[in-house]
Amino acid sequence: MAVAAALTALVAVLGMSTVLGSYGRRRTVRTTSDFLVASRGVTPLWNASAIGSEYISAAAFLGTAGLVLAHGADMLWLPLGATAGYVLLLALVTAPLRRSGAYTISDFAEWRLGSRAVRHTVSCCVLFIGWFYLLPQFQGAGVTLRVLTGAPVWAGWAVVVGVVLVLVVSGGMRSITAVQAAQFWVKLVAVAIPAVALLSLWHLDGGADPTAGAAPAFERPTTVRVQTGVTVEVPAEVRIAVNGTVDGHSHDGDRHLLTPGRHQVAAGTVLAFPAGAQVPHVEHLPVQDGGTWAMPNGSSVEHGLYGTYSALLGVLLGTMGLPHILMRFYTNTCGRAARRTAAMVPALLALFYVFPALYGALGRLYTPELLMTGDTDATILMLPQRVLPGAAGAVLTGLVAAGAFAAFISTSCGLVVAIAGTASQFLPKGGVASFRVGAVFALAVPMLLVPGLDSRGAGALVTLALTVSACSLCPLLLLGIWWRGLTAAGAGAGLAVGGGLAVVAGLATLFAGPRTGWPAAILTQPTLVVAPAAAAVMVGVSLLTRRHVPRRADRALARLHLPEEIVPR
Amino acid sequence: MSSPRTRRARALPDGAGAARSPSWNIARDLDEQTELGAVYARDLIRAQLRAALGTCALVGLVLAGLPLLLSRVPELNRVRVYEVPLPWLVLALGVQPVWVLLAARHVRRAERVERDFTRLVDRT
Repeated sequence: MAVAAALTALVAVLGMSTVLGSYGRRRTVRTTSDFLVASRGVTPLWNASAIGSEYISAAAFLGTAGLVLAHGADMLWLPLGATAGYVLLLALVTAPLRRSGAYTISDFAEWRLGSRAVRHTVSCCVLFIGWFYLLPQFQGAGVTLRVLTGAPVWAGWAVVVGVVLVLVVSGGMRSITAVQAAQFWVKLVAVAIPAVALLSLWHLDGGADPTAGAAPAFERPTTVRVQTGVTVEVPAEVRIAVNGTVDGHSHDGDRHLLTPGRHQVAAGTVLAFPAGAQVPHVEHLPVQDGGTWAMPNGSSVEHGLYGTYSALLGVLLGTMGLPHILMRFYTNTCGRAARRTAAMVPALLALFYVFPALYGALGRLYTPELLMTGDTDATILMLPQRVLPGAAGAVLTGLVAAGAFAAFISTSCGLVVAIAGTASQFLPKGGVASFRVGAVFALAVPMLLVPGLDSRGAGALVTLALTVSACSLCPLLLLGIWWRGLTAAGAGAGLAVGGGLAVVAGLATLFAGPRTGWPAAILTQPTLVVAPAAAAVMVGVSLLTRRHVPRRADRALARLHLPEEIVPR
Repeated sequence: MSSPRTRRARALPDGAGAARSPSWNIARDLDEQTELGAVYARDLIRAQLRAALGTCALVGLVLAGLPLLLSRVPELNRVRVYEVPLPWLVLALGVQPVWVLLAARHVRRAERVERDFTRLVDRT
């Protein structure tokens, strides 16, 4: 029944997207301005909804709850950093950026610094950030459809790519604005109603405390199906029934004694645990007792306080440099409207972020086996069926599935428009045709890479996207908007150092072996070191090349900050 | 200097930001790069920067202070309100409203700076 509900939800979301998308198309003549900036006729609340929608991606909708389940209260800092990022964006970037008139960050960089080289460097950063961010959306769609219906992972990718391609290619910014804004409210309802229902049921159930006790254990006898092969750490000896392959030995429903330590479980294996058995954890997840799990002070990892601060800074500054979010402000009528839009976003995000932590906490009680399969992103998707079997649970599952697909589609749309807008500048013709070619290009590259990506990699890629943004585009925007002394050489050097170091650190964490101590702490969360370094390089090199400050720097700065009624633009 | 697309995207929709035509025009003044326009603009930018840095300082205070507080005073982690650990209440519900208020406050301040500036230019 849950399968039917999930498929119905998927069809409903697709239908809604298509209808809203075509509504946006029908309203006006198709012009380039329509395509790129929805003819700048988007009101602040509508635009704020679209921005909120763009920001609540796979990582926010599914990932936050999963991270709370897997790592505990340390992850509660991330939503705080994300919302605070919009306050900084409002204070430092939105109105000036809107008044610059530049359509993409690349356009802004070229206009402000007068350098093609800087423009191309910025474009590279935008493409990397966009693709790092797009990959997890596809991966999330694949996992969601697989978990809910048993469909192969490529089915989820195909659905998202297809819908996004149709929406972006046919209607551009105007279409996707309508789709995204409406989908924000879909997501809010999809996360809120099941949360309230689950919370009431948990209360009726006796209200067990997720923070109590030792490591997570199966409350009742539980059968776990491992869908992709994993290496798990078994905390205590347990006798289970196995159907499949464990440590290379195949079993056919017979009893097997799992000794403490590492074991390899092959894909497709089914394991039946008795009630009270401690949950084996997939090797990269920490085994935490209730007390450690509930404490948000990083006590469970080495150099936890540094990690907390660096992760916070990464999300905070990274949010300020996300190209698809920045682009949305250009659909406002003027700088003041852009500022008001940015001021509404924290309120919308605050509404949404009440709920993921709740799912994470309930997940520790009801779906601890996700810690073993490693599919912690599925916490929100699995909880309704687990807590409330039957038709009601299926309806709630359908609701969260609708929210999840809305998340993949709206974020992917925004990213594809941003990438297409940046990539199409390399094409000679310009206009709507090259925008469409850019959109196809934007979707094709991640489609080639997504088969090699697992859920752990997807999470790391979102962090990487935010880190690169925080260490490259964020300092460029801040200095470009507020400091007249920035030179093209300074900006280029800072972008190369910041973006380069962030990517190196990200790849080292993804592919190099595990480390300990400070190198591990810094490589996992490099922002606190790299972002100030990038800004310092920008300032330093700019001071060294002081003679090359663009002659029109003063006028450019005035244009960025003077209100529209003084300098019409 | 800017791409054709930026110029197209920058073209104004009808009626938005329509300018009045005062006898002395700061826009022209800035274009001609005389001292007066630059001085005016610099004052506005400084005022906006002060407002922005004030908002950033408040955000930074909360984001830097809370992790430090929770790690220096671990007893706070064991305090419970209605059986929910205090840090969970603060992080999941308590801080987000602060951001909403800070955002609203900043919009008011930034718009006041702009209004004062417009009035000043009009008087000149």
